[in-house]
Amino acid sequence: MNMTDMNSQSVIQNRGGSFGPADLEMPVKVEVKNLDFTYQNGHRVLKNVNMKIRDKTVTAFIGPSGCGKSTLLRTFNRMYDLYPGQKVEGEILLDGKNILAKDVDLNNLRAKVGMVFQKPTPFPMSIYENIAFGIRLYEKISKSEMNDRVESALTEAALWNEVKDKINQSGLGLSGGQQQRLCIARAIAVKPSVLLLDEPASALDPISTAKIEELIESLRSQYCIAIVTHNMQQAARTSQYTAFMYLGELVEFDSTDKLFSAPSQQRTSDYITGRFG
Amino acid sequence: MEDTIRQNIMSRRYGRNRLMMTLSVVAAGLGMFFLAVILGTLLYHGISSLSLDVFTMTIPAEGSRGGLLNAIYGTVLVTFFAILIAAPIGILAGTYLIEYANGSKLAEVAKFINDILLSAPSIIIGVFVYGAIVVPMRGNSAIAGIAALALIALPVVNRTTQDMLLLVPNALREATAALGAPRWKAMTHVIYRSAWTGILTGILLAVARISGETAPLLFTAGYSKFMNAGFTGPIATLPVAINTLAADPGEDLKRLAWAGALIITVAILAINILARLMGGRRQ
Repeated sequence: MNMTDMNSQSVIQNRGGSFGPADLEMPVKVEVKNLDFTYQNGHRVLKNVNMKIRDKTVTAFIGPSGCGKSTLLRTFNRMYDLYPGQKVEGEILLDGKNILAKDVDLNNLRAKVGMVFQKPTPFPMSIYENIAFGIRLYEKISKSEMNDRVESALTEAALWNEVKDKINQSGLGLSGGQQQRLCIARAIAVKPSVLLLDEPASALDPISTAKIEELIESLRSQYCIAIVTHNMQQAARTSQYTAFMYLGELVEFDSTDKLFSAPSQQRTSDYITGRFG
Repeated sequence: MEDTIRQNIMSRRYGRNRLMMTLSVVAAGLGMFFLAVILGTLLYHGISSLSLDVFTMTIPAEGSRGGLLNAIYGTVLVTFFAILIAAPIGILAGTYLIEYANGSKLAEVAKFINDILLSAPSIIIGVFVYGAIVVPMRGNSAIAGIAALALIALPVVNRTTQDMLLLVPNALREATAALGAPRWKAMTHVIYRSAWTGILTGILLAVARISGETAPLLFTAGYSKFMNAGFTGPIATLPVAINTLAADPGEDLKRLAWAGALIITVAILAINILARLMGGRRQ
């Protein structure tokens, strides 16, 4: 109990402010160029978005509902391909290669770009199998290697200690916060280089939220993390860069410190001070 | 002043509530009453007609000992093979309609036609199979009975599969795709796994439905007093046996019909309870 209290305390401080200038010069991982996105009904939800997302940093996307931040995130792993009729124009370069090109292998892309959703989505199988399922898609490894991989993924997601005695029980029996960490463990078990988090804590209680935020901080050194959040404090706490979106446009994109303390756009300043949204 | 107005409104509401409650109870009681009368009559005549002979001997001529063994065997055989054919086709069709073709013109038309088939009078199916199989084969056969029951079960399994797949949250499909799992792997490992109890319940309900069907079997599977192990000859089933024996002037044969009715009712009730239990476990 004491541990939890201390942990949640530490998360409340502004982590965004604690990174040094060196963090800001991480190489570019994802580059978005002239991105337009149109729904089946002709509604244009992304308008000429341009941005560079850096490796080994956390980039937060904020903005009012319907501003296109989730849609933008879902172009990074081409989730929209599941829904025929949604149209995207422009380029998204992952390590310099355009992932929107027609010949891109979607399964390979999604192995490199992991995603965690707003509502926890454990598969209807055991905790162990939830993790092993993804690994088996890409690797043939022995039982003992698999055990190690499952354990390390769960450890990395700060879940191992809570589930190690019930690893063969259903993932559906975990609490909401644990389920969400299981989903993060499942995503990182296949060793992606980019991690997309679509409002990962909005369905969770404050203590679970704090755990997820801590986890994001600890994962930052290994992944390029993009997080969509409705919670501006959460963006400030967890990210080094923040993108403010409004009506499908990227209004402002800057270091989290700068965007929250001295935004250059009036609309950003209005939003973060709570004048709308 | 305001208090009295409220008082009036409330007392009128209580009055209306009592009236509707009474009507509901009467309606429920009426349904229960007739169900109880039917089951009571069935139990009264059925139990007194049951004996070991019913399960061990074939249908007799009036005046001699006999039972329903060949009809029980026929019902089990015809139902089993009908489900064996209908279940895989129904599951695959439902899967295609929801997971692969959903929203397309073809899928919408197919779903609509399936629903028509679902409510088609079963005797129509029987007439169709009579024309398609019985006439060319020059006689009633177990095969024709199996085909007729399979055609009745198919839309049931198809529809329940569709309904159960629709209940699987889309987030689960997205989460599986987000891991880079190919579509078929998502289906077999994740989607079916969360829908299978529901699909199995649907299959059980289809079994319950077809094992009590009479009309489509009358002129397809036909009727026989003898144990018939082949597929090409006529074969007795419980519902057709009940239909035939109940119309016989012989008292012993009428009693045998009561026993058959009890057996089929209890069996269908058991299947329904099983399906209910499985469906319950899902939630």
